[in-house]
Order: sequence, then structure tokens, then C-alpha cells
Amino acid sequence: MLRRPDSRRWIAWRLLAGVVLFFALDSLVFRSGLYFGWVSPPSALGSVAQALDNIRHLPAGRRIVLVLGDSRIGEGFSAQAATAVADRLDPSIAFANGSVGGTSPRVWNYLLRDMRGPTLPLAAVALMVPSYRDDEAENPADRRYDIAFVHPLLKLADAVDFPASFDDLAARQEAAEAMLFKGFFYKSDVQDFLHAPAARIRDVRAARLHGHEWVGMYPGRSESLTGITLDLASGHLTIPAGNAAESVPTLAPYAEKLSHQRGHPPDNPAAAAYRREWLGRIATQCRDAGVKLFVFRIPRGPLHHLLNDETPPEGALAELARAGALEVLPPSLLAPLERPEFFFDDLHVNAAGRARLSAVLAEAVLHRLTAKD
Amino acid sequence: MLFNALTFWAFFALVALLTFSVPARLSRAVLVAASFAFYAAWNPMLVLLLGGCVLFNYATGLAIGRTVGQSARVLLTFTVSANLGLLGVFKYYGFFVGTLTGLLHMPPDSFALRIVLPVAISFYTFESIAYNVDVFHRRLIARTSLVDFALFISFFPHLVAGPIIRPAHFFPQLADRRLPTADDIAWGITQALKGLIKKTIFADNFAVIANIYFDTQVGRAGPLAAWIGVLAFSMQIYFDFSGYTDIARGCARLLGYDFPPNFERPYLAHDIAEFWRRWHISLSTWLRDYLYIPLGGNRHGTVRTYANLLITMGLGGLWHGASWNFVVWGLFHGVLLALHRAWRAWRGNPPAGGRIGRAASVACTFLLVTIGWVTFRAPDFATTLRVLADMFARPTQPSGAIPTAFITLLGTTLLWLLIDRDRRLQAWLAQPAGAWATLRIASATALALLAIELFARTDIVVPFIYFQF
Repeated sequence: MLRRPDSRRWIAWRLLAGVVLFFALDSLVFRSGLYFGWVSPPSALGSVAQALDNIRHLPAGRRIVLVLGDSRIGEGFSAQAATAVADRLDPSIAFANGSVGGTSPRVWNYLLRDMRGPTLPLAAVALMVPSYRDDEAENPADRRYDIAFVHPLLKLADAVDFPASFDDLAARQEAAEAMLFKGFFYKSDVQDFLHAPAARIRDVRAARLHGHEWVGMYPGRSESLTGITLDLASGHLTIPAGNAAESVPTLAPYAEKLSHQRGHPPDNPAAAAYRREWLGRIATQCRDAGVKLFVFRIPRGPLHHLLNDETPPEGALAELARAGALEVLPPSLLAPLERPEFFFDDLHVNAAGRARLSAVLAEAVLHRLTAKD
Repeated sequence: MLFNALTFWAFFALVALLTFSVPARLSRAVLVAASFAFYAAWNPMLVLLLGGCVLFNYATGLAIGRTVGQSARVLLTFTVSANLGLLGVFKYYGFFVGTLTGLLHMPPDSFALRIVLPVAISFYTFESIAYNVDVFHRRLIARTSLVDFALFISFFPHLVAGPIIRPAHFFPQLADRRLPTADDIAWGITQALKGLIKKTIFADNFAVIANIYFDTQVGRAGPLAAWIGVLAFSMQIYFDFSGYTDIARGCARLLGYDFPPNFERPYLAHDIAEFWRRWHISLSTWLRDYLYIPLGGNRHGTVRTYANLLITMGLGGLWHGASWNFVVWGLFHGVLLALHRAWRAWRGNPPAGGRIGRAASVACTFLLVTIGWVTFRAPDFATTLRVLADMFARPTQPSGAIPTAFITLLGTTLLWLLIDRDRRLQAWLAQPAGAWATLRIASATALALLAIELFARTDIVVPFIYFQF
């Protein structure tokens, strides 16, 4: 005759077994990376997966300069064009674009860790920054959407460190949940997958086969803001009729801010602490890998040429440079691109800007690497 | 602090730990303190209101218990009036003023006061009234322990959305404090898990579909979209409220207390009277015992009986919220109940009928209840009428496809009902011991947790519907 589970111990064992089984399933499907290989290619997670996949398709036998950044690098840097420059100046080197739109130094740190792995023959890392000063208005440490990009890259060793990197308690809790409940952060992707499984499988297979080619061959956007002008004193922005700028709603706020702050937003101690932390960590990774870390300022906007301002780095970046953790490329390097003809909106360079930026950056990095060697 | 938030479960674990680690006489005080802390999580200032309500009704209960005859009746009248007055000021002031200014063609903000609606006020005032009435009728001895009384009113699992606890059910449980048995734990955990699944997976996903129609398509979509929206709300409100009740009952049982059932598969009712014996049972029995019967019930002839039914259901509707829409919803059910009663009086009890007949009566009842939800969900009469017009309009253009999400949800709902037929889930954790049973239970627990992890709508905030009441 079967016994009744009349002791609390029985209940506890059964529940414990259930919870253990849940975590086992969660780990098997989500923590192992099994599901990560099937995320929707156009999603945020898909862009992380694509960036990691690009690294697996790099030319063999060459050392890699990995360029990290957000969508401004995605739009503005062509690894193919940069590698063409390397073919001329130092054929042992190739460039790789490791950018993911919407990301920040905290995400780049984990991306670099994952991309670097034990086998990637790194020659250098080139990192974009939007400014050479600590002038970000918000506290970047509390940027919660970092969790969405980073969670597939986290390991158990990050269990305390990653949540603690947020200042806000609710953000810390969310980050801790990302460590504990992996599936939780794949929820919408799983639901989307179940909604149309055949289409997802087809899309992922296509991205696996050709995604790196699509990224490599991307020429950049052809639109240009040529013709727009700003009166810095009054903040009046003039957009000629029929100009592409008419369909860029963020251009007016950008111009207003530029006019109001003259390119010098106030420094933010929280942004300085964040940069010190995450650029410092990236620098440590580079030091451990024995490679150089270059930091360059991405062209800030189509009207920044009006400021004629090429002040050297200050704050956290200057401290790290002085400590030898990284090398800051001169502010004048990409400043000539801060003109309307090289932009298609207030943030991103267009095809012409992309070609120039890739060539100039590649030359600057290669020149310094050769000099170092 | 919502039941479907991790913070609530951390809070609950802490309270359970504290409750069982302190001496028996202190455990109720711990629960009262925890309940007030739980209430303070919504609005710390309103704790004063809850505390005042507890103190007031504790004192009036003692006073009524020590008084007899006309004095006791006067005291009771004062107490009930004070509780209803409290409810009237905090919940219905704006409604009455709005109606008055509308009738007098005055500016809508003529007598406007910015009064915060205290969460749970409808529940704890009704419980307070029941307590005092029961003491008056000598069905109950007034509690001398303030802690016991405070626990009855404020006990956090039922505080914000019921079930409405009756004193005669609750106080005897305080006579001897017992630790939850293995069966209590098994039942409580299953119930809470079921409630979480009902709320976070079923209710919240149906809510998304219902909201799309009610928030953006009313008056512009065809009958198909309207029926989908209304059906989705019908499912949402059931899963939302019964899910809440399941969690409340499960938590209470895990702390060693029993709450009465509040839902008994209401959408399987064969007629409207049966529906009200299965839906929000704690409210419908409260209305029966403390309103319908005191009004005279069915003891004063046919006309009075029907009038009492309409008054009871109309006020029951108003209890749900300060809006004429709720009154209409209550009256709609009152009319259905009256018609049902009249039919029974005329034709007698229906024959048992075959399976098809029973299914038809269930479907018919469900349909009427679902149509009734339109006025419950719509924000005003104009929207109610537009929704009804949408539902019964002749399609003028191709209706389009039924959303996959709706079909999937309905299919999953049917699967859920099949799995839980005959309340099998209630007993699954207490199955006989053995490796096979343990494996099955562990697998079911793991799958339930995985389902919550992947399909609960944590990306949007869908408050429990009954929190607003």
C-alpha cells in the first residue's frame, strides 16, 4: 500500500526537486546558449548574436583590430573598407566590426570578453566614445536596457558583480533576476518564436549563412543633410525644402542643445565614475591580452563643425590615458566629418562618412600599431 | 506590493518565518504588523485610516456586545452608518457630486475634492459591518483582543481584494493556533501556484487582447473584433479575480488559516442563480445575509421579492465602483435573476435534460454574463452602447482573421480546464509517496515555473482588477 506524504519533509523534497528541475531545464535551454542561437535576427539579442557571429567569420591568419561601439559604429565603420587600407599598409592585420546598436561601455566589456575568447588573434581594440569629456547627462550606470544585451553573455562569476554595477536598487534587482532566471529575459523572443516557428528557423538559418556577408557589404545610407545650417547664437535651424533633414525629428532638439550648450554640456560625476569603471575594465582586458586599446571620438553630429572645438580629453578618459591604460586618438582625427554632408541624421554618418571614417580610423590605428611594433 | 511580484513572495517568506518562529501569542501580532506593513506599501498615510477603522469597529463591537435592546440597535445603526459614511466619502463622494452637478448643470468641479481612494476600503468596511451586525444578533461574541480583531480586518492575504471574510468563519480559527499540516502546505502551495498561473499567464494575456479592443477599436471595428474583445475581458476578469483568490487562500493556508472559496467554476453554471452561487461567493453571500434578507428577502410577497433582488444587485454593482456603469451591471444581473425566478415560479424546475440541453443552458448563461461584462469594462454609457452596437452590428466588410494569440489562449484555457478537471490539481502535491509520484510532481512544478517564467506578462503592468474596488 502506498504511503501518504504526511510529513512536511516529503513536500519539501518534492518542491525542491521541482525547483531544481526547473533550474536544470532553464539552464539547459537558456543558460547553455542553446536558445541564444535561435533568437530573432533583427532583435536586440539578434544583433548581439550577429556581432558574435561576425567574429567567427574573420579572415584566417591575420591579426584583428576589433572596433567596438554602438549604432554609430554600425553605420559609420566598414570593416571591409578598413581592411582594404590594411591590405595596403599592413596585410597581417584585418579589421572587425563588433558594434551593437544601443549599447554602451558596460556591454562592450562583456562583448569583448566573449569575442576575445581564447583564440581570437587580437592586434588591438578600437573603442568609440561620444565625447572626450564626462558630460553624459544621465547616470549611465542605471541604463537598464544594458541587461537585455548582456544577459546571454553573463557567467556565474558575474552573479554579484554585474547587478552591483547598477546604482539603482530596482535595476540591481532586475540584473540579479537576469542572472537567476535566464528564460525570463528571453520571454518575448520565445513567444515570438512560437508564434511563427517556421519563419524564425528560416530567418536564423539565413542569418547564420549570410549575416556576416550582409554586414560586411553594407554600404551605409545614401541620404545626406547637406544644406542645413544653424545660427549658433539664436539656435535657428534652417532646413532647405526637400532636404532629408525634414524627416529627422531629432535634428531640432540636437541643434537647440548645441546652440544652448555650445558643445559643452556640464560634466557629470556619475558618468565619470561609470567611464572610469567600464573603460578601465576594457583596458584591463586589453592589457591581459597584451594588445593596445585605442579610444576615438565618433563624429558627434552634423553641425559640430560650427564649434571649431578640439579640446583634448578630460576627466576619466584623461586619467586612464595618463595611467597608460589606453591611447586616445587626437580629437582632430574625425572632426572633419562633423559636417552635414557626412550625416543622414543627427547621430549617424552616411555612406560617404562611413567610407571616410573607416579609412581615417584604419590608417590612424595601423600607423600607431606599426610605430609600436 | 502585488501578489505576482517577487517582492511579495520575499515578504511572504519573511512573514511565514517570523510567524512560526515566535511564541504562539506573538504570532498574531506579527501577522497584524505584517498586514499593516503590506498596506503601507500602497500608501503609508492610509494606514492611519485602516488603523482608525480597526479601532473604531473594535470599540463599537464591544459596546454593542455589552448593550441590549433599543440602545444596541441605535449603536448598530450608528456603526453601520459610520462605516458606510467612510465608504461614501472616500469612494463615492466624487460620484455623487458628479451626478448632482450634472443634474443641476453646474460646472463638474463645483464641489470637487481631491480624495484618494484607499485600496481595499470596500472590503474592510463590509467585514466591519458584518462583524458588528453579527455581534448585535448575538451570533458572535465581541472580541476582547484587539490583536485578534485587527487580524480579522487586516490579514494581508485577503485585505486588498477579498475574499470577504466572515467573523464566524475566521474567529474560531484563532481558538487554537496550529502549525500548517503537510496537507495544508501541499494545498496552499498548489493553490498559490495555480493562482499565479491564472493571473500572470491567462488573465494578463487575455487583458492585452481585451485592451486592444476597448482602448483603441470601439466603434471602429466590426462584430468579430468586438466579440473577441468582450470574450477576452470575460476570461480576463475570471482568471484575474479567481487567480487572486487562489493566491490569497493558498497564502492563508500556508500561514495556518482557512479562507472560504470564492469561485466555483462560475462559467459552468446552468443558470444565472447558479452563477451567483459560484461567482464571488463571499460578496454574494454577504449581500444575501446583510442586505437582501434584512430588506425582507422573499418574505413579503412577489413584488417586494423582485424589488429586493433589484435593490440588492444594484447596490452590489455600485459596491464595485463609483460609476453608474456598475449600477447598470448590477441591475442587469438583478433583472436576469428576477426573470429566472419568475420563470421558475411559472414553469417549475426544468427537467434534468440531456447533455446537449445542459450544455445549451451553460452556454446561454455564459453568453448573458459576458454581455453583462460590457458595461463593467466600458468606462461610460456611451462606450457601452458603442460596444454593444459593434457586437450586434451586421458585418459590412470582411471580418478578418481571429488573432492567433486569442485562439492559442482559448486552446490553452481548455487544456487547463481539462488538466484541472474535478479539481485534480488541488491534490496533486499530496499524492501518495513514491519515486514515480515525486518525479511527476517535480516535473509538474518545474513546468509550472517555466510556464510562468516564459509566458507571464511581466513586460506590462496589469493590476488585479478587484484592487480598485
